[in-house]
Amino acid sequence: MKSMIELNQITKSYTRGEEQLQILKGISLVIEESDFVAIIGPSGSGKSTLMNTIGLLDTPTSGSYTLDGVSTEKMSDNGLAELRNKKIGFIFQQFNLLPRLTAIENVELPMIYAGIPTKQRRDQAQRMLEKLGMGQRGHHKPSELSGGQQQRVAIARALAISPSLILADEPTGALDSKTGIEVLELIKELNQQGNTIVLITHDQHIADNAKRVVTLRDGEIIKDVRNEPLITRVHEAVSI
Amino acid sequence: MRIWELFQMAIATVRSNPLRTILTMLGVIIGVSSVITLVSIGQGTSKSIEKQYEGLGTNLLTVNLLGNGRATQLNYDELMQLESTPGISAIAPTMTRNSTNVKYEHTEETYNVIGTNDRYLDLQKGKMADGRFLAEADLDFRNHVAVIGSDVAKEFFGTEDPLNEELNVNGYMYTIIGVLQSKGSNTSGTSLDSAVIVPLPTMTRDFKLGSIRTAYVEAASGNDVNRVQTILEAYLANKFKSTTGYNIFNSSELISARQTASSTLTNQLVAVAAISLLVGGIGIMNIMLVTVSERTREIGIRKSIGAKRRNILLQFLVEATLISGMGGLIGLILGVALSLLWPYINPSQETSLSLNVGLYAFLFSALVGVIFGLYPANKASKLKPIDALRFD
Repeated sequence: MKSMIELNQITKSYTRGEEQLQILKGISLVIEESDFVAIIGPSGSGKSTLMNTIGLLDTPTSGSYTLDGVSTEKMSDNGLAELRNKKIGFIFQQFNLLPRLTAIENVELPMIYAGIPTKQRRDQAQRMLEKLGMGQRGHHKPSELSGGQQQRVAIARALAISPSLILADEPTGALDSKTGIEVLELIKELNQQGNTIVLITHDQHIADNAKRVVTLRDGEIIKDVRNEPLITRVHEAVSI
Repeated sequence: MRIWELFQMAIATVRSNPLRTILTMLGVIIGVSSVITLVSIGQGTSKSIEKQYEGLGTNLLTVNLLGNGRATQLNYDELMQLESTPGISAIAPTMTRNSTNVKYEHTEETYNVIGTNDRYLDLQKGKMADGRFLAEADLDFRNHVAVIGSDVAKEFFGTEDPLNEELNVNGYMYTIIGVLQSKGSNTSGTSLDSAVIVPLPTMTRDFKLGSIRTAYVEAASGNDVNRVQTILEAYLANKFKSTTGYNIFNSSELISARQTASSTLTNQLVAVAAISLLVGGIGIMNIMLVTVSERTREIGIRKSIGAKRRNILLQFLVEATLISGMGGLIGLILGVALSLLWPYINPSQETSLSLNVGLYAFLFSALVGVIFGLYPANKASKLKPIDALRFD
């Protein structure tokens, strides 16, 4: 199977005063197309930094990262923006919808930056909302929607330009447990339809829904488990 | 991303905070409207100056004889001899007595009485409404005839015909032979409309006046004006053995001197107004900087879903330009309205609107938005997506 994400010896360090903080200590990870991977770890484990690196929101200090066959190391800001636009659909804990825009306008946003014409954009956005059961809510502002509904709109936005990768950062973190389960089911469904999904969480129960669980601690992968099929395989991280 | 989409986006943002938008625009509105109003007042003044002097014609020279003692006097015949000088087409020696009692039947008023010759009417670009102007024979025979201005005719006769009526001017009876068309005030501020014009020799005798103080000299063409002025100066200097005791005004010199004075004043006022436009621009920059930091999270979201630096830069730039452009447009409308209303507020002041100035003021205001929006927009576009997303 084709690999979607290839991380090779990724490090990330910050300087705070005199102190050199190493958040990621040489992460190597390959994620295959159509897989559903949960990255789990306690706070301070570096999972957010890893997620920002995978999402091309932040650049690593060293190491190489290839996304869907595109090497990202030497890319300009604009190149990275284009790659985020075309290849990554983000689902955030706080939804991150623009409050001034209606639901359908929020879904249209990535398509505006992709240069898709107005009519086609609007139709596509409507289809996406319908797919997520939000077809009737297109003209509501985010503040007029419940948390679960807002997250559905955000998912519709993430799917709008058929990304290669869906990156979900604690997608159920701001939702009650019932709505959280619904959203999780939705994400599983998207995976069954062939979407590659990387989910970041601190919650083992949520991670159990994924096909593969990567555990991070202190900036290193300490466990990499495949939940499916039933036989659980434990591999050692490629390099520590 | 098309420019229209950027505008729609900017309109939505600007509409979401109308009070702030209007306050931000205020500086530009005041700047643009005052530039337009001040320029139109300035141009109005300059036009009214032109109109005042138009009555004289640009070929006209005014010779003032100060008449200090016998040495600097010229009599009527001496002046008229100059008419044969090449380049001179006509001369009208003139004496004026202001605020003279004029009586018709039982009505008494004070008017300016002008003593002159038959050339005067053409030189002053006057026209007859009724009857005739003074003729050479009236001067030769010292006839007691008078030509009256339109205001005089209205005052004494109303709708009646003034011709052949007898007017008592300073105790002497004059027969009215003509009425002038209304013309408005001339250079010296005195109006022919409220003047009584009589033959110069008749006036000298009746009023027991001394020497002639003023002579209007018309050059044959605009090209002759300077040459005639030189000839007259040389003649007078030779005659009086002095370069004092007289002066000669050239009407086009007078016009340009007054025009220069008025346009200098206008330019200074416009400069002050332009400074207020600049201050308006700084206001826009200030608000845009506030907006950028308020909307850091929005910028982060937009960047995370694929907005490039250019997209963010243009978004904020279009917003700033929209605010200043709308301010400019409102200022334009306000300025035009003020210019049109100004003459009603201040009747002595004409205004003259100019399309160019309105257009420049509007374009300049839009430019102010671009220039002062550039820094905040650039700041927004440079934000790192991760830093912007983390911002609360």
